[in-house]
Amino acid sequence: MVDERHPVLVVEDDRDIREVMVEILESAGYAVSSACHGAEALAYLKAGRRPCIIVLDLMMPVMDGWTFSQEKQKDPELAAIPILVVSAVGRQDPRNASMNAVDHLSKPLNVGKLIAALQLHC
Amino acid sequence: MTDGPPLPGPPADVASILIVDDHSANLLALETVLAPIGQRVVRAASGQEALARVREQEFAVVLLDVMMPGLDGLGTADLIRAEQRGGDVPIIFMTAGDIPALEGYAHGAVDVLRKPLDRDVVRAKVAVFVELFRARELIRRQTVRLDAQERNAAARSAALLNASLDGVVGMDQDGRITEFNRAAEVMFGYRRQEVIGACLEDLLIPPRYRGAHRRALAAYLATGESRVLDTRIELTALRADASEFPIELAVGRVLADGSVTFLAYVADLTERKRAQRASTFLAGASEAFAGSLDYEATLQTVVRLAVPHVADWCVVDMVAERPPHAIVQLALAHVNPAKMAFAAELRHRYPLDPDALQGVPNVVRTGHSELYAEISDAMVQRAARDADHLRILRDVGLQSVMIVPIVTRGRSLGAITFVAAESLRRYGGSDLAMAEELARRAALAIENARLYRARLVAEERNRFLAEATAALGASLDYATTLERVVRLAIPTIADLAAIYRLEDDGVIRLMTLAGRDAEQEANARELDALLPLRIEEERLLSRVIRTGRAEMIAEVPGPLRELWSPTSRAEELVRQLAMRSYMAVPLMVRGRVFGATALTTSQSGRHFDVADVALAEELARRAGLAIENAELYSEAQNANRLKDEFLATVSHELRTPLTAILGWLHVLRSGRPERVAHAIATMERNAHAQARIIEDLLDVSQIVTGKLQLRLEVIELAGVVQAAMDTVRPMAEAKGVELATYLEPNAGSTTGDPARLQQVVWNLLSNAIKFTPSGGRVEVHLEARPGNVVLRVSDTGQGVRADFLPHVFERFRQGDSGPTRVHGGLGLGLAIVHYLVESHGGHVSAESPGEGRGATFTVVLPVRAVLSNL
Repeated sequence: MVDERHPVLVVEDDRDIREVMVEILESAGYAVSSACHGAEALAYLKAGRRPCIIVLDLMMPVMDGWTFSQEKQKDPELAAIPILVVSAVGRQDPRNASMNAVDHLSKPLNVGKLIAALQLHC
Repeated sequence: MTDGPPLPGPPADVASILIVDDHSANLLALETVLAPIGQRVVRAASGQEALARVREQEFAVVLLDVMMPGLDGLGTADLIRAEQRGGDVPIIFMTAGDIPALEGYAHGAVDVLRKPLDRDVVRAKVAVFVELFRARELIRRQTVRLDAQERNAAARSAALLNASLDGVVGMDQDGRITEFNRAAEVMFGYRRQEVIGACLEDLLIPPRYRGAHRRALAAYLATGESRVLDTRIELTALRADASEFPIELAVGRVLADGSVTFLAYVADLTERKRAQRASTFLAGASEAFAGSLDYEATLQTVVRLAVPHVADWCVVDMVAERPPHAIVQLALAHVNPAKMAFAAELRHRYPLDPDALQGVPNVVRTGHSELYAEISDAMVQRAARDADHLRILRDVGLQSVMIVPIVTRGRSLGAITFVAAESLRRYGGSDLAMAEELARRAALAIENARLYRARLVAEERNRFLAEATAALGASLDYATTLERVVRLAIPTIADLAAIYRLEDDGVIRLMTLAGRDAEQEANARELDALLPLRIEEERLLSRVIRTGRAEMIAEVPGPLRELWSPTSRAEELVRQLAMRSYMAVPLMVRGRVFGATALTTSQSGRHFDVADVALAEELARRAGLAIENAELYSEAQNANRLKDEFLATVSHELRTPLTAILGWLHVLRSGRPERVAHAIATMERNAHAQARIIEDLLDVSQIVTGKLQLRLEVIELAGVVQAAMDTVRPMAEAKGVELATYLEPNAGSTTGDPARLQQVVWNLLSNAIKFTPSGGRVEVHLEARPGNVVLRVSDTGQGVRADFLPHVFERFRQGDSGPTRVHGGLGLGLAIVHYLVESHGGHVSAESPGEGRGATFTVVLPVRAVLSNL
């Protein structure tokens, strides 16, 4: 049986938030994978997985969201995958200028907005 | 005019005219007519009076009225003719009657003028006789008078000859000396009796001129013509001691008994020539002084001008402008270039004794000239320091020496020494006057040059300070700014300039350096690297930084160089740098010593003085202000950045647990009964975490505003530690970190706030667990020390970087900040620990052998807590 659900990658370092986001998005009908930081997410993508959207935190150890985004854009096969930022860092932060994210949601997270955004882009 | 004392004889160049008339109106008229001729007119109102005047003096011409009562003109003329003195005076008759001219001539008249007189005719005729008289007078002075003297009285002639200031030498036509007066004896150095009858040219004419002399004599005897007769010529004559000297000569001849005798009047020109040379020299020197402000070079020119015209050896010594005001030989010239080095060497080997009672030091000290007209061997012996010196001084052959001070405004600047040796010259009063005049002009020139230089230096310094200040104000990046400033100091202020900074670890580090060229800079940097400097070392630079007082070495001495040269390479570099003068001034920033500015002169040869130190201090003061501004700016920027980072951290730390709580609430609301327990546990943990963050923020806020209160009671620390351990044990277990305690049961009681002390221990423990990876170990030690109780929390975690250790207890500071920080938290925990421990009268310290090698935090609390900072 083929999984018909849209694949989503959640990248979040806080274990409690990661868990609850996986829980919520699966309930919403997505096939959710997760990574603890940017490097792990990049490895996931390099392994050939192609989520239809990446839900990305910014402040993370090892590799932060901005760096991950840059690395992803360098790979033409990955560049097209949209990013949805979910972060405590405000939308106006200058570091976000080159992110090219489809949307930017602030923490604390509004679950309704998250699901609406996912439905729009995926 | 007949009464009164006889008139003195007229000056040689004014002739006298005697006018004789019985009518005073005629005399007055005649006097008026004759006035334009410009000669002296003597009146006589009678023949007798005319005779009396003629006896008194010689007249160029007599104008004689024929018609006079008593003794008439013709009779008067006869009587005048009979007088010895008036025997050949020309007489002109004046007559209204018709005395035939012939009768007049018979009475010895030279002319007869008819009245009324034509004034132009009178003037013309009188003028002719005046001219005649003068010509005759000249001839008479040279030969005729002598002719007469010879004729009349040999004794009187000899007396006259000897009284003459000129040397008089007579020679017959065979070239033998016939006359030799006293002045000639002095001039030539022979006695009269030695030379009378001797061949003149052999004795008095230098050999190289003798041929010309013989030819001229032979030519005269053959033709009667001579170029030397009746004129003045300059020649060189020979003394008995074989020395030559310049003379001026007038030769006349005396014809007697069919043979001719020559009489030479000889003037010694030595003095006149010397005076001429002196004045030429003075003029040249003055020109040199006026033409240049470089007085050192000018004095070199002047001593070269002095030799050989006024000295065989000339030296200028100057008093050094800076203490100890040594006397330095500035210029030297010697008539014999080969002896220049020798003369210079002499001063080297036998330096001046500053306390000597004669010679240059004495002249400089007293401001009075010294003249040694004739240096005797006894004087040389007294002056000699040792046998070798005596031999050298004798070899030099000193004849005469004068030393004059160069004085301006009552201060001796130096002295000029003139030495006569080879030339056998003897200095006298006129030489000394010339030398003193030279010294006076030199003093003026030096004074002018120094004033000019001082003004130039002051201008340069002002310009430098203005430029430096502009550069210092141009940027808040002080490293760049200081580099610009040291560059500006070259070459106006120094040849090498450097700024050093005192580091926290006591190392004095070179910040920036500028020199005249790249090689010099490279050498200086290499030397600095070879000789690292620490604050506690006994070297000038470290002393200046320690004491905060500037130091200067006007003349860098040899021993200092050795002190600086522990390695051969350093020695070589020091030699290449050739430091002449050195100073270091402290660089103060906000009342503490930041470092020092070091300035060096080398190739310029310049010496620093007090004014230079003042300038460097002023520069350092301005540089200090610039550094202060830059530091304040950078600190303000840093504080701003820390605050921004802290705000971002607070925002992140507050939003993170809230996100988890809200997320799980959403899950609960969507009805997932199997997830309820997990959701509640997670929400609770996140709520606690957030509460703790808020408490920390409140604590810090209270600390900052001074409102934090301690609830003091006597407590056992062991219990407090135990309680904190119980709180963190689940966290350690969850992470897999081993927790070990070593508590002395009765470690000691203290007065304190149990909740706050527990917060201290909890913070230290949770930090240790947070930074220790799974499988690591955290140890807690509680020990009693005399008067104190010591708590040590050590871990095997990631440790603290050495550069972060000093800041570990500062607010908002986290060793790991920025977006990739691994660990959460606000970075307030240790700041709160620090504050609480100090509030209890204790102190806390951190140590770490380095990153990845764990850390140890030690809290020392007094057994009886001293309550401070409350």
